[in-house]
Amino acid sequence: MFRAILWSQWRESRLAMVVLAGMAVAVPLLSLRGAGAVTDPWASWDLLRATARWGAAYPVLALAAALALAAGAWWPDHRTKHVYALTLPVSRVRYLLLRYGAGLTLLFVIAAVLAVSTVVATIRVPLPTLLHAYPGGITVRFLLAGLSAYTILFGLMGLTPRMARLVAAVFLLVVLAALVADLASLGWNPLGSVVDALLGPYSPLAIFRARWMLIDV
Amino acid sequence: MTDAIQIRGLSYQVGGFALRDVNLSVPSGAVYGFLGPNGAGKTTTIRLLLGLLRPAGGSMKVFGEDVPKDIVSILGRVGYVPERPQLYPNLSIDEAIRFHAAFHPRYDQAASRDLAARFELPMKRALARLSKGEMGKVMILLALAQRPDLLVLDEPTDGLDPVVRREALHAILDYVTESGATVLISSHLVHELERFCDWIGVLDQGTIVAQLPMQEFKSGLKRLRVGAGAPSAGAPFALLARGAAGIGGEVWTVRGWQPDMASWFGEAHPLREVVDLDLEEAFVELLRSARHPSGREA
Repeated sequence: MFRAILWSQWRESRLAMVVLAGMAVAVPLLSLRGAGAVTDPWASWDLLRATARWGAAYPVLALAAALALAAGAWWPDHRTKHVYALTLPVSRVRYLLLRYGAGLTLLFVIAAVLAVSTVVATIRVPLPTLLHAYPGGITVRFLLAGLSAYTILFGLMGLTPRMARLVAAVFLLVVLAALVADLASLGWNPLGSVVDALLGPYSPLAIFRARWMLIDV
Repeated sequence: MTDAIQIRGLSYQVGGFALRDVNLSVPSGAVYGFLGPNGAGKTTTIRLLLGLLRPAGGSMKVFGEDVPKDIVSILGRVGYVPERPQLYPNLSIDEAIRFHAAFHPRYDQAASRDLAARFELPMKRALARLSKGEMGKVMILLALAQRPDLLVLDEPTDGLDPVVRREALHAILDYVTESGATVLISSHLVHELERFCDWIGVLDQGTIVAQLPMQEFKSGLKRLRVGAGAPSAGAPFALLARGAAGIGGEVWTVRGWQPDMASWFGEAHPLREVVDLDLEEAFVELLRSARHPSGREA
């Protein structure tokens, strides 16, 4: 069963998977493109700045992968109004876990590509003294970020239309409240509070705010 | 004979539509035609039976197991062809078959290949690119190859051309003859059901208005030509409709007719002719009488 679900999900998101895997190869290699020329230890600062600039690409990649895989997990069933899935002789919980697991497996594939790419990129570069490469760290972060985002998006995209409308209504209400508060100069920003709560230190999405450095001290 | 499907007091409501106190029994091994006009509630009843919707009241059993409590076990024995094809459009036919087979332990690969060859299906083509007829055949192939004990077919041939329809129905009949499976087939194409159903249930406006063996359904409904002004009080049959027919005559549509009832008409108002109604006429008259139970001028 799992293989069948995995195959159907691959068929649904293969184009996105290829693009994401291509990005997972390209980002580490491009981020260290000029690093081979760094011989002066004082130039390490420039290398760190360049790495930090590219660092923003990793969480974006994790979020894009999570979005594509969550959409790929649900899209076939949404399009068929869930009729086919619900008439398969398997419990709903099991079916849900199979779908979730298949998306997770595809996320691991992208993470594996990223792991290989970061290792290759860092092996090719002679690093100045005091600087170290963290291919494993970047891959684990990517995986954790991808996992958090995928889990949340999988849950959101799997909502019934009624629940989805409810979530959208709450979100619109928050945006509206923020707008009114801003116009009335109340000094209160509910949208900011929501974003802070979502990305705060205790949120599973906090990892998106962390420093993503392939090369660091 | 035990019932493969037993529905008691089923009710369901959504928007302005309601199913009210639906009672339905499909004997094991029967080919049960589920008739009704568009919007009568046939698809809703089927969806309730397959656990796709939650009923407001009543009970449903399939092979003695409760819906929705035992739905997983039930679905393992049911082949379902929905009104509109609901397969994943990005998969090819080949892939859709593999996907389906993975969930049905009794899936018969040899039968599947035979049916694919019989239907001349382009196995590598994506489902999204199939014609309506090809898609209908794929749905029937999947339902039959899983070797179900119960086939639930919701307007399976609706919109198909006559050639495809004939092929599909033959495949279904072959399977039923060979396996003895029970079939619940919903349709508003009355002629289609007439040929191979042995039971008939008629749903109208969310209510079952008739449920009986096909033979009984067909034989009891007649159109009578009688002399004008004949009294209908005390008739041994049910008068569904009556109307004038030319000079000095009337046409009566009746149910529950038996040949020996001809003597009931006296010489003053003689019975001139008894005409068999085909299933479609019978169906229309049945609906008419259900909607106007007192009988009326046609």
